[in-house]
Amino acid sequence: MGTLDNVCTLEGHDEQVWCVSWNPTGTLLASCGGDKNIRVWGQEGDKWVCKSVLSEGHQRTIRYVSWSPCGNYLASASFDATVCVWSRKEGEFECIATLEGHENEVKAVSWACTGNLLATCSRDKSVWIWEVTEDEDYECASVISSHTQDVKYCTWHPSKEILVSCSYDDTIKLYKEEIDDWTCCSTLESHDSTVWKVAFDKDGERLVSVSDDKTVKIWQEYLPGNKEGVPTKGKDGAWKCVCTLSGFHNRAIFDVDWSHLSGRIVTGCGDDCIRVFKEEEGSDPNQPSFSLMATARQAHDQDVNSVAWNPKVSNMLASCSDDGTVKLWKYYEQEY
Amino acid sequence: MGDSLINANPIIYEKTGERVLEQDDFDDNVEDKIDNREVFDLIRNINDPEHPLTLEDLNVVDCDNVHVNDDENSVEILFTPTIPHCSMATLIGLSIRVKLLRSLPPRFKVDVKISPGTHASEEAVNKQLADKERVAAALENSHLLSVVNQCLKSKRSSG
Amino acid sequence: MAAPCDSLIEDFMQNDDGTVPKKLSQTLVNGKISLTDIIENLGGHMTNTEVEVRKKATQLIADILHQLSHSFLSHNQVSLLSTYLCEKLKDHAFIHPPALYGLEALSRCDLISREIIELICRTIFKEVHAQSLPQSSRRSVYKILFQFLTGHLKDVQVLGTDFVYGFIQCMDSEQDPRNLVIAFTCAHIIIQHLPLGVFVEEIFEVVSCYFPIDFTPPSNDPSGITQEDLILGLRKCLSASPKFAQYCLPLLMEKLTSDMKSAKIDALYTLASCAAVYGSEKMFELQMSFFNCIKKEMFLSGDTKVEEAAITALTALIKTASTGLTQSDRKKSLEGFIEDILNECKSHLLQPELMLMKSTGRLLQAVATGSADACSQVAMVTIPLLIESYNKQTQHTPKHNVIIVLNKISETIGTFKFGNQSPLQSMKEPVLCIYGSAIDIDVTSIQVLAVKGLYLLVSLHNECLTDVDKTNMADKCLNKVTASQCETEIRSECNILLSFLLSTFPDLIQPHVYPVLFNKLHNDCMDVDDKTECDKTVILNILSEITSGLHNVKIVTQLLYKLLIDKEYLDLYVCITECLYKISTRCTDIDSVLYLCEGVKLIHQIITTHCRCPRWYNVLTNTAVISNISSFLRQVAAHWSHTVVNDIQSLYTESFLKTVSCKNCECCSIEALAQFQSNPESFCPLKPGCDCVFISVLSPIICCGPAKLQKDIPNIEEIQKYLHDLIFEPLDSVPYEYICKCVAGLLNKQEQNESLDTLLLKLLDNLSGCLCEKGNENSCYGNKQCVAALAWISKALIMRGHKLSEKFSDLLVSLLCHQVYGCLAADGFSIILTDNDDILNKSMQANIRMMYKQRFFLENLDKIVHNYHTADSDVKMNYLSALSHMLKNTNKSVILPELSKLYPLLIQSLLSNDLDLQLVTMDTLTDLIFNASNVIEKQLDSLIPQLLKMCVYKQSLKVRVSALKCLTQLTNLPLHKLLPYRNKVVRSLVPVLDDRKRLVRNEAVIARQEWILMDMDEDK
Repeated sequence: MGTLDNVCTLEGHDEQVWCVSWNPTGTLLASCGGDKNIRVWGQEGDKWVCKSVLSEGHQRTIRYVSWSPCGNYLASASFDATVCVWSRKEGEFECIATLEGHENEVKAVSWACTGNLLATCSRDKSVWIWEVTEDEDYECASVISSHTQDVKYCTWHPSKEILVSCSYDDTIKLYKEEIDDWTCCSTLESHDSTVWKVAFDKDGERLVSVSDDKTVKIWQEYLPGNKEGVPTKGKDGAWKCVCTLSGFHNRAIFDVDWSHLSGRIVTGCGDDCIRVFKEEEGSDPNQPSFSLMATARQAHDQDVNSVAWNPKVSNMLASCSDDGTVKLWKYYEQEY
Repeated sequence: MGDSLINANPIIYEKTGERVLEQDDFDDNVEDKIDNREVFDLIRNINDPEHPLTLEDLNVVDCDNVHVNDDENSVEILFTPTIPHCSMATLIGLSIRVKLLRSLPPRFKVDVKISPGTHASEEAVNKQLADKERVAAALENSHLLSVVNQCLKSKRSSG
Repeated sequence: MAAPCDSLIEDFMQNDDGTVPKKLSQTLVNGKISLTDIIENLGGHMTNTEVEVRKKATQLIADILHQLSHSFLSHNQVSLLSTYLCEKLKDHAFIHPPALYGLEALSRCDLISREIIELICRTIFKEVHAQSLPQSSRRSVYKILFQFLTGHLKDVQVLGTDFVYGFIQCMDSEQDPRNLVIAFTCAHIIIQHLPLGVFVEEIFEVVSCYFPIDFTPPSNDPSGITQEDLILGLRKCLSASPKFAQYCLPLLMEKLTSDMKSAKIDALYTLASCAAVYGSEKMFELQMSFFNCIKKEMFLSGDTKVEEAAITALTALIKTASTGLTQSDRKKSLEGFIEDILNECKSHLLQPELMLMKSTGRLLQAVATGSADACSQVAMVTIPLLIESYNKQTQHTPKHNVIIVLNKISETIGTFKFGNQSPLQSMKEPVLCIYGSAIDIDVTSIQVLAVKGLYLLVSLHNECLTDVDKTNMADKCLNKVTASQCETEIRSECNILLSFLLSTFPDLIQPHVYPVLFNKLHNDCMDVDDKTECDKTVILNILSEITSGLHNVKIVTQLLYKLLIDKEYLDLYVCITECLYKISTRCTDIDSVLYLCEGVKLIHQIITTHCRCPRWYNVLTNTAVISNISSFLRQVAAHWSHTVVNDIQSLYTESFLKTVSCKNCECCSIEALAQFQSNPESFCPLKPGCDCVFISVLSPIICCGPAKLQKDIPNIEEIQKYLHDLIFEPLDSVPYEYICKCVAGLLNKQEQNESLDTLLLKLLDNLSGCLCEKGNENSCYGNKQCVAALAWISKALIMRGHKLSEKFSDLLVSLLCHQVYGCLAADGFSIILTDNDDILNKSMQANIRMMYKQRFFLENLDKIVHNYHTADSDVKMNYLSALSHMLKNTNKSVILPELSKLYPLLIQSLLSNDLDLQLVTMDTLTDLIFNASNVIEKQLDSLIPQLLKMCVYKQSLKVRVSALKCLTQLTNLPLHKLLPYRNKVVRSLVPVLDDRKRLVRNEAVIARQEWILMDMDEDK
């Protein structure tokens, strides 16, 4: 079994906090929310403190922040229909580009592993792909309108140029570039309500998704000619839901993160709890079992909106909530 | 605006009386739990977006469809649109949600839904009302916010 | 003489010396120089080639003229100067402003001739281009015209349409509200009294272009002109002549259908004013279209103000339609109109479950209010429909709605004098039937409406009802009120009806009511197994509510007197005395009061004979009984005739002075008697002891009369001496207060002479001796009470404005710093300033000087504020507390100018730990937010954080509630002052939403909502 210890609580946001995001080296944590500010937190000695407040970028709630793979840029997505790209030089942030094009609230922004592509999604039902030019300009490379509703989130495969998005239309979709344009190559249907978030595992062969239907689902990719005999189409692999975790969460689950270091899955839920799951050792990869390792009850006073594993410290975790706070946690597992 | 009323002549219902105050209400040592009636009192005087009437006048909300559990921090409201195709159902639901967002302690988990079987697009409306991200975005839309605030403005003295 | 005049003029021309006009006008008035001197001296300047110089010279003339009284100038001088200044109007336009200003002064002169008026008007109309003048000069033009229109209308009328045309030219495109107010007044007079000729449409255009008025006065506008001033001014113009009908009515119709609420309201009220003037013929064509607009507003607007305006307009339309000259006119304009209206409304009346029913009811009431004919027509059609509707319905809500409308119609019929021709006559039976059945429906609101309906019938339509109808009503009501399960609301409505029936038809109704009630009172309690019977206290309460009128009072008081001396009814004494008191409040005529005087004597007898019986004593000294009895005595004493006064006063005073032996007790146990034994054998209320409590009964008897008769009260001096001694006796607080009140009541009206001053100085001496003695501050229990006596005596003297009052109040103020007496002294301020029901009030004919509270406040405020700052910290509270009593009881307009010095103390009061003090302070602040927002605005920095702190003050929910109310009130301040605090307040109130007390949560919800929504009305 495991335990989650609250290491510290970071206060400063005036309204609900929607998202927390670690930089690639795990030394800085960015958070954003209803007060239209981005706060960047870092360690000074033993203490975590607010290093910068980025307040001049957006007119409305900032829904999501995301660091570039090199760690020198931060992108923020806002309900004001824009995305800002901030460059970090000697600890100072400066807004270097504003990406306009979405019709209304932008829900997420994500950098591809190469750092040359950026994906954004919005309530306008579209997903946009932006190319970063050599002179740090951002050009729209594609507008994909595959979803039939509000697109809640999008993120890139950890090593390939494959994009995944999830939506209010209850589906998850994967995209790749084919003959000069981006197309949807897979649609994953199994959730009964809005899919709030998806995350790849370390190798990008599995996905975990969480939903308003209070379940967590694990999806496995089967490539053409797989030995299990799962049917595929053309060159694309097929994604199959191999595990559904239900009965653990009491309200909508807003966020999930799959640790690329420890393989643990963490969820943030509308019932104010943070939960950690672990794949049981020796379980059948085609029908894996996951067990609940730890629950932080009343981890926050209100809904937990976002959870994120530190990319370098395997047992470190950040979370944020409607209660306006950001919290850092240490996760410990005892061997029996 | 008069000509575009969807239901120009709705049925009006008898109002519930004011909550009767009791000895305990004035006793500092007694803790008053938040109960069905208290939450009902919060929403009964919300104005209908279309008529000069309250949600209670129109029986859109009634005390029997307010379920509160103070200990478990839960509130569930079922509301009944005046007619099954009422295009204002989402707005009414949003007004209830916003009123409670402003009036209840944040520890409460609030569900606002249409009474089963009373509206043509029940599921769609319920899903929208449950999506807190959309509610948050709606409240940053100044036009929508002013419409909602109109509904929440304290009721005019009845004449 | 010319020399000083000369140099003064040069001073003005060269150095702009502003005092010159005044000096010159004084020398003019003194006769030291003449007008010709001045003109001659100015001559050169007036013809100077520089326009600037000519202007200045003209200005000087104008300024001098404004200094003179309107009767100073002779006929010739006025003519001369007017002609001269009119000439100046033909000069450079630059000269026009001073010339017009001068003419303005001349227009007020008494001795102005018709020729000159004509000259001035024609010259202005010909030479002056108003639109290129500055605001003040345009104002001069309007003022000149206004002066002529109001002071010399006949002379202006000679000018005829030339004047009308000239005025139109002047007023065209005027924008300034200050000028418009005068211009509208001029236009109104012109339209009413001048021949408009071919200019009807032009003058209508020139005023109607301002309709509807949309004007927000700038903040701190010195002119003080409001939107309402302009609206009313314009409305008078539009409704000034029937000739405007063809232009105005389409305009109103257009505005009625606009989206702007204020435009609609203005249009509706203007329609109401116009209808009356335009007359039925002009209104006829459009009246139905107007009705349709009005109907739409009633059904859909949902705004009370719009609805009120719509109702007013509709009633005016009907009133106008009813004024057609001939029968056939009326038939055409009125009957047809109402018929159309009724056709529109019929369907709603038949669907009472729907919301339009109530609005329809209000519409019909508005129609019926228009005239007797209209009322009759509406009633004849609608009442049968309502009856049909009621009988068809099975649900409660629709029945409820039907009765509401029925009551409205019935009420309106009652406002006209139909006599036997009442439209209700033929429909009486079914209407009574409806009320009869509704009264038995198990819904409170319906029963209440039904009883109200019956009341309307019997009070307004008596002639339609038979005796049987009335007795039936009485029986029904009696059944209701005597049932044990009767809602308070229903009972009070029934009581109103019963009271009306009893007092209006005593002979008919009495036999149906009183025997039943008396019977229930006499029933042995043991017999009553029937749970449907109400108890006797309820019967007494009913009696007290329904009894009025000589005959009824006699019957009921006789019964009550019997009950008073019956020891079987001792348990009901509180109710019996209360009933007696309530009935007495309705008796002012000599005969009824005579019946009550019997009671006064009876009470005296009961007290003096039974006070040595423990059972009786306990009942008689019960605080509620004592209070009822003294209230009753006060009531009687306020109205009794001088023939009985002396008897009663000597009866009371003698028994209070002399030793009256009491009846032996026959009813109490030996043990009870034994406990009572320590008391004296006889009744002796003026000696320290158990009977002092009865001084409360003596007070109304001796303190009630006019001041000049006080010295004639038998034994009064002796009584007063005893009372003054009692002040220094240690007594229980309740009787002590009675004594203080009696002392104060007498001192307030005692004749002013040397002996009164001596008496007062002696009292003051004794009191200060008692209170200022060093060393034994905690020793005497009685001394503490002396503070209350001091306060009461101060009150008596301050109220009459006695010269020694200050010495008493100074002593009280000086006690505020006292460790022990300080807080009592603070309470004394409440005694002084709070109106008391028992004593020192109007009904006791007290000697009350105007504005004594204000005076007291102003005289003592500085002392309190000053002493507060110098006082030790442990007694500072007392000053704050005294201050709070002063604030609570003083007119806000008196407090406001003092607020800046008070404010630090108010904030200190909020920070104190004293609950009452904090509460009073917050109440004061809540008031001040309305009345002195400018002072409060500057203090928000300290006020808001303190209030927020008090919202979570654990010890008292009252404090939390008051603090939240105060915060809610703050939202009435200007938005820009509050915005900096908004986020903090809204956020800080979140935890208060989870307060453990519901009352606090409710207030927190309201406060938070107001702070969130406070910028909402900005756009209106």
